Amino acid sequence: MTARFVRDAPIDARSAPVAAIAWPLRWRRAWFATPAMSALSLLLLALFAFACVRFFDWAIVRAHWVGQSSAACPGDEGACWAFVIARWKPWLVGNYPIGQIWRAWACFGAFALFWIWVVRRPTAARPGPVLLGFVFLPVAFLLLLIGGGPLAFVAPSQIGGLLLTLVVTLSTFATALPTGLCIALGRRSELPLVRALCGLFVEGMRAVPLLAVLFIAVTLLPMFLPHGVDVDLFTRAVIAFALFNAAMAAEVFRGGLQAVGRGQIEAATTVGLSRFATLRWIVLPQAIPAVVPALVNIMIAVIKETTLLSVIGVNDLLGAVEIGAKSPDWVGESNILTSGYVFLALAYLAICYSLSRYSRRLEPSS
Amino acid sequence: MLRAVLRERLSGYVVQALLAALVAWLAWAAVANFRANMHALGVSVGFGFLRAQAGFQIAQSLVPFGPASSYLDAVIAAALNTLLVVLLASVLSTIIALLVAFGRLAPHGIVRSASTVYVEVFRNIPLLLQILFWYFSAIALLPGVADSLQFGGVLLNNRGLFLPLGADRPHVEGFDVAGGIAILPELMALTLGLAIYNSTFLAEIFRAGIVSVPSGQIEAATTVGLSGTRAALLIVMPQALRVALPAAGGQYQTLAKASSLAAAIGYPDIMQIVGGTIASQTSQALEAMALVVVMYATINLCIALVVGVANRRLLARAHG
Repeated sequence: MTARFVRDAPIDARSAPVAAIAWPLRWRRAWFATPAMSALSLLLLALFAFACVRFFDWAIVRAHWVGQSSAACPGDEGACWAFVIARWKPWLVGNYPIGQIWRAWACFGAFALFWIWVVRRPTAARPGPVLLGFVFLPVAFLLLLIGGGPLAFVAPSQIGGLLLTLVVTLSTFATALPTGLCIALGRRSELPLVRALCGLFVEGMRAVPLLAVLFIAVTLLPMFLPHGVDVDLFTRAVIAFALFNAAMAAEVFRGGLQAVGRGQIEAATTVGLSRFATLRWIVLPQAIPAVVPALVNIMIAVIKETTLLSVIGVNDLLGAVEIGAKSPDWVGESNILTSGYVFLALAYLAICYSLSRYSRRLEPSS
Repeated sequence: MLRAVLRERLSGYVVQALLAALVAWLAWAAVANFRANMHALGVSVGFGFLRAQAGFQIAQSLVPFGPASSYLDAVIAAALNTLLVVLLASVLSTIIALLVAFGRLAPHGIVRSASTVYVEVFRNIPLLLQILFWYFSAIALLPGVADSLQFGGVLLNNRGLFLPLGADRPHVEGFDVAGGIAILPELMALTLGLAIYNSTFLAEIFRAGIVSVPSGQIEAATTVGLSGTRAALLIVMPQALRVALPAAGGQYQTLAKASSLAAAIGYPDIMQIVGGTIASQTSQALEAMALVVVMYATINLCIALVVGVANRRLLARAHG
């Protein structure tokens, strides 16, 4: 038992000292070094300023903020944020019953707390508890959201919008990572049949578009199940996502496993560790931290992939906006759909960009 | 000694036999369920339907296609449409990516920031959203046929882009455009979306390739009097490509697979025609999806082969 004041993980590296050149000089060197460069700088700046002014004019000055129908947003000179604001519930939680909505808030809140805890940890700390959290959270969320027992039952098809994106991303992550790790280990197995099956699965999945996998899960899966067994659309979509991303994760884990030197495994065998003990105590503790940035990148990819759910008729964030723009109240003005798309683009940009910054922070600095 | 080895091998054999039995049982159960379900629905299984008359129209076809054509013709037309959009988007995204990759390494501060913003913005917005935006928000804003934008012989309106073909120049005729080659708005939106989204990933791959070229090479090129552009084209590019090509090949495969998002805007590609129209019209969903899978896998394999050959050529030139 170490004393509580002893660190169990290294502190993050201090950032490099800032170059001590005054900023006016630095800017002049970078932007106005030669007359040609100055001209180019001014041209690009003017273009940038023009684009900014146009966007500001569209998004703020001429935008319509309040209203309950398309009558609030006439013409296409300004954005229609009234559409986004009035339909906050469909894009945030989908058709989730309004009386039970506290469960959705609980999920968002729990995830926000979890994420704050994850980001504030030192980057060199062991990833174990975080990965466990990613397995535990989706199970807890699904139990809470679907309910049963003392809680009122809510059909999974009523979950939608951002809540669905969150739940699908987390469930995919929780199922695809362990499966991917098993497949990656299977590809290194001494048994030729195991190796062949795992290799076939990974190469097969990587050759096919995700949309085709989703179509197969939606249209073909019921044909291969016994008569009377029915799996709802939500579960089918999650299965397709999990299998597809398991193949992606398997490739990532394979890279991590290959990075562990042969000598490590031989040494472990020499000191008498069993194969499982070698894996548990020698290989995985070295392989998994090395691939954590790549796993965050898989998570970014999954978040972006969830938009495909709208193509197969599941109400994700994109589906909620598209259905909203087709609803009788909001039909008629082309500007409404565009405003919805711009809002979604900004939302995805914020989420994915911050995740990619986080992934870059986790990369071992060289 | 021998017995110990045998015992260890034996456990392996047992595990493999159990696994084989499990896989065989799953396959048998799936096939049995499938046959029972098909029997209940009264649908026959097989690829015989491909010879039947398709009876639908395809908005864009590179081979002659009419209502009398067979399903096989439709499959071929759809495959060619996929190849067309993959080719166009690959070329366009490579050009953008090279410009952006050099932009990110430029000494010029604002060019560098502009390139960085481009990469960060377009790689973090889902591709489907970008394609839908170009299709429903950008192209829908173009003027109608009557007030088409005209650049030389090229016409641009919300029905698409019309290019001149030799002496055959596109012109407005009544409510439509006649003559020239028509590029559908769906093809424009899909090409634009795929090219821009993938160019951000390609730009990062190319940048890594350019960074890997030792700075001594560029200094040497400057010393012998090559201008910046010529040094970039003649010295940096060939060496950077050698590093970047394998990863770029993977990105072209991703692009080809992502072209299946055509189904969301109705561009008649493999996913839309074979996986959508044919599957629902004939009820032969299994056969149709099998065709889809095989076709995408073949396209991916072809890209891998082309990239492999190009890579070997580059390496041979470097060492020869």
